[in-house]
Amino acid sequence: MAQLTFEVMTRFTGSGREAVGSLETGGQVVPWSAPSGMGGKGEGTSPEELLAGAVATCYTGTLGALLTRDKLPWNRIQVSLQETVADHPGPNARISRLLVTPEVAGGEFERLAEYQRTAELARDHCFIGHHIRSDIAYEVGGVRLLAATPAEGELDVRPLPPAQRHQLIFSTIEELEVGTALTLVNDHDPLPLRYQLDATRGERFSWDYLESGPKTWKVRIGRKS
Amino acid sequence: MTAATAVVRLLDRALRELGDAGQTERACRLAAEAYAALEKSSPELAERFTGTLHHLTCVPPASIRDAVGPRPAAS
Repeated sequence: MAQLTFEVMTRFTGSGREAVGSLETGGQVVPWSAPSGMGGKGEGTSPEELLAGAVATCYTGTLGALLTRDKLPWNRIQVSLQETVADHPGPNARISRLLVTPEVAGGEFERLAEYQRTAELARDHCFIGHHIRSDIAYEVGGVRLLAATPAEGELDVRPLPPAQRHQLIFSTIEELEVGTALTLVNDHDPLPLRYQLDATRGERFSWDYLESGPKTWKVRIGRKS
Repeated sequence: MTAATAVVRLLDRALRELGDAGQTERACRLAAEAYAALEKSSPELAERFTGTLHHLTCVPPASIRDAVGPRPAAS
């Protein structure tokens, strides 16, 4: 068995709660201080947030690996972590709870219960989580599934039954940030969708044909506002 | 059949006939407006006009697309 070591470097200047520090890790220098809610300067990150970040990153990586292992489709995972400090201020102040809430894009909606089970399994497998679970309640919130997102840049609706396509497209393009776009791939000219977009969403979206049949249509839909 | 469903069917038929009469672009816009009016309150009725739009646009796709042009004007 090998023994691994990890090192980070911190610097700290000032005194008491007014002090600020820096953390060198992964080639980055990250400023930190005590959080303002705990009487500190609130500059940069904080030890409390770094603990949350350690758990959240470990959990996210673990979840991705388990989703792949369980053959649950995904193309992006976003995890929010809420950390609770109880009995503050005072000598008994402590981190009492960590709640991770995963959002999985590109999942299969009819398999939500499986995604939830895997999300809870990821909590149990999370390496960093192992070290804190005896002292802190570590919980998993409800998994939120989203349609395949613009991060991939392409939404291919051809495998879907026609009745499901428009709703998926609408929900996906609503997730687009202003200035971004996706390419819609379809097996017929999606003109009906364009009429519906114009009628329901005005001119918030641009529409440009990239390919026009005869078997495949590709349209770049961009969010303008 | 409810009165609303009957009216939706009637409007669907009228729009298809408008398209058959050569006013395809106008029929498409009206069908989309009907869809928008029903989308939130009666999505199952709204879907009827998704079918209308597919019927209208699949007949002569190239000519409609040319008619739609860069961006439809407000109607």
